[in-house]
Amino acid sequence: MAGYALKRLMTEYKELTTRPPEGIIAAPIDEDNFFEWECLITGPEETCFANGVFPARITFPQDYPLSPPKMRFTCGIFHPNIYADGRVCISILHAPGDDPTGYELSNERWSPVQSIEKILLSVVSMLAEPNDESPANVSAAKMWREDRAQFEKIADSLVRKTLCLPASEI
Amino acid sequence: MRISAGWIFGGSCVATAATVLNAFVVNKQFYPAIVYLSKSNASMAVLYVQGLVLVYLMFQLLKSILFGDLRAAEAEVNRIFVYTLDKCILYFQHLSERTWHAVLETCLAFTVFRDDFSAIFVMQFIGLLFIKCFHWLADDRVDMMERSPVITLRFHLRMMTVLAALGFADSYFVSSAYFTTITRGASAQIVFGFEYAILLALVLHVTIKYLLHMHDLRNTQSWDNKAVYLLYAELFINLIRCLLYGFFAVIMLRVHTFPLFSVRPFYQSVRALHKAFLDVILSRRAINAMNSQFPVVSSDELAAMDATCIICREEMTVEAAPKRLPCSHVFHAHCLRSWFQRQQTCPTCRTDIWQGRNGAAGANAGDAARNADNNAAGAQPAAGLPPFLPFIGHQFGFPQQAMGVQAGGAQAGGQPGPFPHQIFYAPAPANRPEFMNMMPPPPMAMGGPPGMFPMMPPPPIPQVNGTTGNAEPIIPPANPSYNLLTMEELHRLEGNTRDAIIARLQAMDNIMVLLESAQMQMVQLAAVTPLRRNVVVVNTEVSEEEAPATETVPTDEPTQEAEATSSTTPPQPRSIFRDNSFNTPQPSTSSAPPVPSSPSTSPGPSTSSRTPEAEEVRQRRLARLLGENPNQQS
Repeated sequence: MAGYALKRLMTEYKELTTRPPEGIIAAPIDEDNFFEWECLITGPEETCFANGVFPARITFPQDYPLSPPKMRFTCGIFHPNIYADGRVCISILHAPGDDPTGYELSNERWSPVQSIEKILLSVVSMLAEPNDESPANVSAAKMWREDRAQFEKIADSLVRKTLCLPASEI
Repeated sequence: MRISAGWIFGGSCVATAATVLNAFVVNKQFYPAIVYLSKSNASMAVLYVQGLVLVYLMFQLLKSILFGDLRAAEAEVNRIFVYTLDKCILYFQHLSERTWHAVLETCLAFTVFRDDFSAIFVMQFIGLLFIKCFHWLADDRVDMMERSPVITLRFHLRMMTVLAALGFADSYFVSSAYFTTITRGASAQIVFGFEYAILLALVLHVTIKYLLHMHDLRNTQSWDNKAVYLLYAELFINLIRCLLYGFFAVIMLRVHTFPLFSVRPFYQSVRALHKAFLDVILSRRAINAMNSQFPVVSSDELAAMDATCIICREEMTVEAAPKRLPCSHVFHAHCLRSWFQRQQTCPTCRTDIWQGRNGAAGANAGDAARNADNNAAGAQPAAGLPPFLPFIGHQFGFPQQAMGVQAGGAQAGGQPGPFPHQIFYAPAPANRPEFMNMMPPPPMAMGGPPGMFPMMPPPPIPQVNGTTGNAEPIIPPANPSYNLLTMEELHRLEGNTRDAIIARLQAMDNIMVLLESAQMQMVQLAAVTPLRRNVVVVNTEVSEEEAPATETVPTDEPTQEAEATSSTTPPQPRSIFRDNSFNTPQPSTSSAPPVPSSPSTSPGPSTSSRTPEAEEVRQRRLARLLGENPNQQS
């Protein structure tokens, strides 16, 4: 009998391939190793990240789903809730108990009921609505608050980069 | 800017070749060339580096034989090793923590034995590092068994070879270190010996894990207890490690000085032991909770709902014994257990399971009380206590429950003995649930089967009369379950405040009412017994007819006595408390479901001495008793 975490990841993989949610693709990088996933997230419509396709990597712990996975964007992304190295700071990925930010409600935290799909959907909504109350990237949060135009410009150039488009059309 | 391994090999080989060639060119002959090489520091450095490179190549060869291609996580270890070599050659560059600590500590250890420092010593040190790396690799590889979808035969073959080889190597080095120390006295071999002993413990741990995983793999069903065994194995190994470190520290203190270099690993293993111990405790607690507190869901219930366990996303079957939490969410028992080890909340709604359970207990108590009421007389709101006397309410939690008990007793045909008991047992309604946990479950249906009715011994009516007349408190028989009370609660039970005394008096009043009703029951009994001799089948109509008859016709002596008792009852406590706000609500009597049409028919001789209210209450109670007894008999 294969491991507990492996079975659950296989089930989730099957679900994600049979009924893929809109704007999200996720799969293990290598079918020999189900604990390392790659996913592509399309930026939510009508935001500055619209039309962008952002690659990210999800690393699952050995005791998944009891512990949350870790998620990292592999493209450089400028967002208040994403660290400069791409790590995503979102409450659904934080285990209950330790509260690194002191802002999060326990009912937003990780629980085995959550799934890869829910994580990715939360990340999409995080892209649409950054939480500048507890920023991971302080300069991004500051710019989001004070200089929205500049923030959108940076986001736009990022979207262009992920789509392999030239830097600016004008 | 890590220099790649290939460059190092190439550079090292070229340098060695150049040095050796140079020596031979300069000296022309073999022996002088060797002497030249061993005397020249630069040449020796180049040769040492070459030796390291060769050892590394051997490590790679062994690794590829024993482990094959490394996976991402394991490649980390491999890279660590490359980094270690880099460090040996290129001084502190990109060193990973684990190897860094290993190197640092061993170096620290060698400062203690600096007399022994030699080339052989360095080689031993590097050999130790290699073997450590193999241990770490084996550990990671065994953990991978749980994560990998396919385990091939080759994997098992490799794993067994690795474990056997490592175990053999470790024991060999431990024994050689031991004998060296015995024959030549304490030297750096002690450090090596202990390093290998600890590695031996690691091999043991890996072996246990491997066997457990293998057993799990051979089973087609999921093996729930594996996690528990793994926990115990970890606890055991950590204990061994701690003991080894402690032993090592003691020996080092006796032979040399305090082993500063072993403080960090010692602290780490103590912490790991502590964590393993806590894990075991939490796991045990979770298992206990699983076994004792949460009900197993039946197959019917499973069929009625979505039977997917949301933790493991698999179907729940009855064989897996899914458990229902107080918040009515259902999961696999083993899924819940592993989650409860971390968090004592419902995974879905995050209700605290202990809180939920207490709440449920309170609710159950409330339900019980309500059921008792329903049995007795119909719906009575559970919050029947005066709200400002929550504790006293519990202490003399009389109102609705006692009535329920009374009804139960009445149904059973009257058992006056246990009544005072139950008054003090009466479950408090939901406002004191945590206190409820200490109390035994409320006695619900305490009546014997109806068939026992005629065999009941006659109750001691005259005594009851006496007590009722004097309004003496009935001392409840000593109850074993009071042992559960703490000192504080006992002190609170003493209750000499005004409220407590009022409640006590009230309870006495209630007891009196109970006794009265019991008495009436006995009267009924006395009246019914001759009837039963004549009429076997007694239906409700008969009993309705009977009600006024027994009341009005004072033929039997007990009846008269009862009437006399009620008339002689000093109205004092009643008149004090009946009218004030502490009054007992009289739930069962005010809403008796099958009230026969008796109240107006019986103006007894003693009626004049009572208040009309009390008389009516009495009449209703009588009617109810009459209404219930024949039901039971028929």
